[in-house]
Amino acid sequence: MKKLLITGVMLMTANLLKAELNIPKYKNLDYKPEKLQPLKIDANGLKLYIKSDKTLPIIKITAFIKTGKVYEPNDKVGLGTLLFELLREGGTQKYKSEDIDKKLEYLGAEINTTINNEDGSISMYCHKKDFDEVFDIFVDILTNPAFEIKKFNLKKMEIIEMIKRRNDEPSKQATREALRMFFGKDHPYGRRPEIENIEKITVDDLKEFHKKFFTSKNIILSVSGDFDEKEMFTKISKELAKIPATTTNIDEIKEPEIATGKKIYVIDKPLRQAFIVILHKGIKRHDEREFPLSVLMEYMGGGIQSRLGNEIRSKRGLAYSVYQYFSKRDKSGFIMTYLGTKPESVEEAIENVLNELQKAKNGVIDEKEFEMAKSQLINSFVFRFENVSSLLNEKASYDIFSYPDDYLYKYTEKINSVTINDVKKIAENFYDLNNYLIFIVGDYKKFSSNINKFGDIEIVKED
Amino acid sequence: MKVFLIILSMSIGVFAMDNSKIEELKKLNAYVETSPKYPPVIYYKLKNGMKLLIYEKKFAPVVSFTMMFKVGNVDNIQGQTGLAHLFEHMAFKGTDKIGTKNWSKEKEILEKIDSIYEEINKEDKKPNKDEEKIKKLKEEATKLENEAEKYQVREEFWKIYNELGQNQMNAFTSTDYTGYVVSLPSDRIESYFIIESERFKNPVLRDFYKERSVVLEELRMNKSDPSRVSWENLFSHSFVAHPYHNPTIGWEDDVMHLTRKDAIEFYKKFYLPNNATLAIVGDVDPIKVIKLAEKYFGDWQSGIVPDQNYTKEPPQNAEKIIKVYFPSKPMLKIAFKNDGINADDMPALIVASEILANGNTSRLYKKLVEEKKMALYIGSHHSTPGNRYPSLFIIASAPKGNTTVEELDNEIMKEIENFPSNPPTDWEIQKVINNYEISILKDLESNLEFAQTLAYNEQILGDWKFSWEMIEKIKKVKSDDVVKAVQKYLQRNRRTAVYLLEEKNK
Repeated sequence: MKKLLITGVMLMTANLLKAELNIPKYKNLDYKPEKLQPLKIDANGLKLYIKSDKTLPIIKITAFIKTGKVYEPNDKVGLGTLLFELLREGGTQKYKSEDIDKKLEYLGAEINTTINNEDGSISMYCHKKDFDEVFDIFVDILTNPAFEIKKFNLKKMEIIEMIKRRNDEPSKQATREALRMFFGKDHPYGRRPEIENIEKITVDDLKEFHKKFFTSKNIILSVSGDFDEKEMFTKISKELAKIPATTTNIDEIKEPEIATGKKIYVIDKPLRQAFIVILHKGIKRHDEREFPLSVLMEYMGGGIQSRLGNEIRSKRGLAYSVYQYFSKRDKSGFIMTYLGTKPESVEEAIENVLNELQKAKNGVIDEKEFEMAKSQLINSFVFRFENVSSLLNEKASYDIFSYPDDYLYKYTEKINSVTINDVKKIAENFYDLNNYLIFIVGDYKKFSSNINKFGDIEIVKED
Repeated sequence: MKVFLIILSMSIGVFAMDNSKIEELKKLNAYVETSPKYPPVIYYKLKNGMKLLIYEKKFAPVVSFTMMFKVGNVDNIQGQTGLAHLFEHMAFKGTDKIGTKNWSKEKEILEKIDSIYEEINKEDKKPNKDEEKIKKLKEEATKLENEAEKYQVREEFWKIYNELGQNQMNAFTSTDYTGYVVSLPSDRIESYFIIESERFKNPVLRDFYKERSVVLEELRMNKSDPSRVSWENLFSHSFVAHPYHNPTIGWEDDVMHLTRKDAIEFYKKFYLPNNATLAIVGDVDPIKVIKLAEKYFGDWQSGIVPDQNYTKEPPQNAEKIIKVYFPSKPMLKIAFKNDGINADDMPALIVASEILANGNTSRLYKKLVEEKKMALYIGSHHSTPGNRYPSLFIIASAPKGNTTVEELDNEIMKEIENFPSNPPTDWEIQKVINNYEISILKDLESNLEFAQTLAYNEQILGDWKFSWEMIEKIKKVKSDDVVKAVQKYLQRNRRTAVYLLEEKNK
């Protein structure tokens, strides 16, 4: 096993540590994940990362798939979710769903599926002695799903039940509805499944969606565990050569139109806490500004020691949970500030958040805290690569989005080169205090009536 | 004997410790586990009673720590529920060196703030409290807090760790324990010892009353969440005398009156080296770790841990059904009193729990989710909320479609009552064993998770090998034992059910 690289190259010397305690001074870690060479299956060009890891008698495979909920047809939102649930639970041509459950659960093995907005994955985990049996099921799930009608109806019923329950957890409700208003109720980045969408979905729809996305060009595999690399590659090549190499047209997502002005939406609900989401426009994927933006997010909202953690939680005791982060999509992105506070302090909390954003926008960035945010990002980067499977998974999950090959390798360098002026510029551009959306779920009658100074209020009925 | 072989093969890969190193460790009075039955963990006890568990694992240059204390909300006296949890928050506020610019000046002000809050408490608890007086006192306290701030470095504890590159820094309070976790790049291990020894030897509970407000927000967040509301009701109605009755976060009225003095007394009683285990997993040299532990924790004074026996829960002898109304869709939680994790028939009850509700092949899933389509999900656990005292076998579910909570509950009970006439098959029992074996391997994958398991097993269950020994016990369980356990424990006069119902139906 090749050792990961740690060199002593100095990036910057940390000097905030207290002298009194004699905490040693450390240079920022210059950690770079090992460079990985993908292999390709001859027959169809399917790309895979394979690395043996003998520490435990376990084998793990993850198939990363370029797909996503954003590609669901507008009248069948929920199709991707149903497909991925049924890949695992709906049986295959070779195995009945019941037999898959029995086999996997008896062995303590797992096959899991996930679909996100713009990607999906199917993973397997087993003891090495069970590999052949579990891998055979994994391959059939990937290539020959059966969508048994009994399971199809059951999963539909479950998704419908989940839709009925979607407002049970107010924090989830607030974030989902905020994004829905921000990107638009019909835009793929904002929409949510409705019962009538789910009812309309047919088995043929699932087959079509599966056929469209499960091609060799859309799948990247990561394979790690206790095996011989050559043997494993041969085995996988043989089984996955049947994945078609067809090119399919994936519909282009329209750039969302984000409303301008200051708007507050409120869902009035008699809860002990008010859940507040503030959204600003962010960046698209593959925008170099992500590096200074990452530093700004860490500085402003990356934990208790951040600006918002300090001002909202620590200093004023207004919230238990308060943070800010950004998320990027192909055609847009957002910056989300989240906090929960008692309904009586909604005004005070929002006021203090906006004040902090305003300060940063005006160029007031604390230099020590800025350096600390950079150190945190640089020094904790190594934790994304704690074991072989996470090393491979990190790489594959960026490849799916066509990041440059050296993206992870250069990550800490890029963060390290961010200057305080870069961050000031980002704050000036992105903390737009004339254009934002606030979404609150809470006991409206207890809010101060002054909150209309933050924008026009619209009461929304939950559904 | 599969598990033995698995661990043996693993120990060759992960941990090739040479004999000279083992000899050197033995000279330090460390105990090196060499039995192939267990992972090669190193055990070391300081003179003050603090225990150290070290597991060396090399791939990435990182290390994870868990410091576990045997103190949780169960140890809080009536009137001070939630104190263990609030103290856990306070343990991030620094020391007489971290978080302050001038400790002696800051200290004076903190004491003044304390006496104001004592006065506020006194007034607030009066039947005819003087709101105006309380308001004035609070303003006075705020002034002093602002003055104290001049001498403080806000959240310096977090700042130091963040600059070091901490990952997953957190702490957990449960009914039974309080655990502090963090991961660091492995070249920074000495910093951990410097900071943590300060933290547990000389904590300063600055910003106490602000943090109390933060915890009250946490409490309000919990009270807005239907699942948490139903759990809290389940525990408080299941237990009437034993302190598992109290929510871990505390009763709101207690939390809002907790003082810094309460917290300091609590710290002095329970935060003792002989009440703690530190587990370290990752890219470390065990000899160096032991030397650092001696250097930084060696002078931590041991003491007498208070008696931790509390009022025993009397036999329930009643079936309780509690209806809770909440603005959300309905949920169901069921609890049966068990006899504790060390009861002879606990392994059989564990098997029962797994057979009933673990996975798509489990009995309750097949019957209620698939066949009858009454439940959205179903799960169970053999011992919640804790393991230090007799606890609860629990089942959690939610109805689907037009099913009511009551119908779902009846159906679950019907399945349980039918259990003895369908004793577990060999296949069902072997499935449980296989799953436990794999889960132990999974645990070893993550440094932090393994550190938590080791520290929890040692400090709360009495032996870091607890998980491995439990598997051995489970392997001996016979079908008939499982039936007996179900008959003994899952019966109505040990049962409490919480029906969380939609508010509009009240």
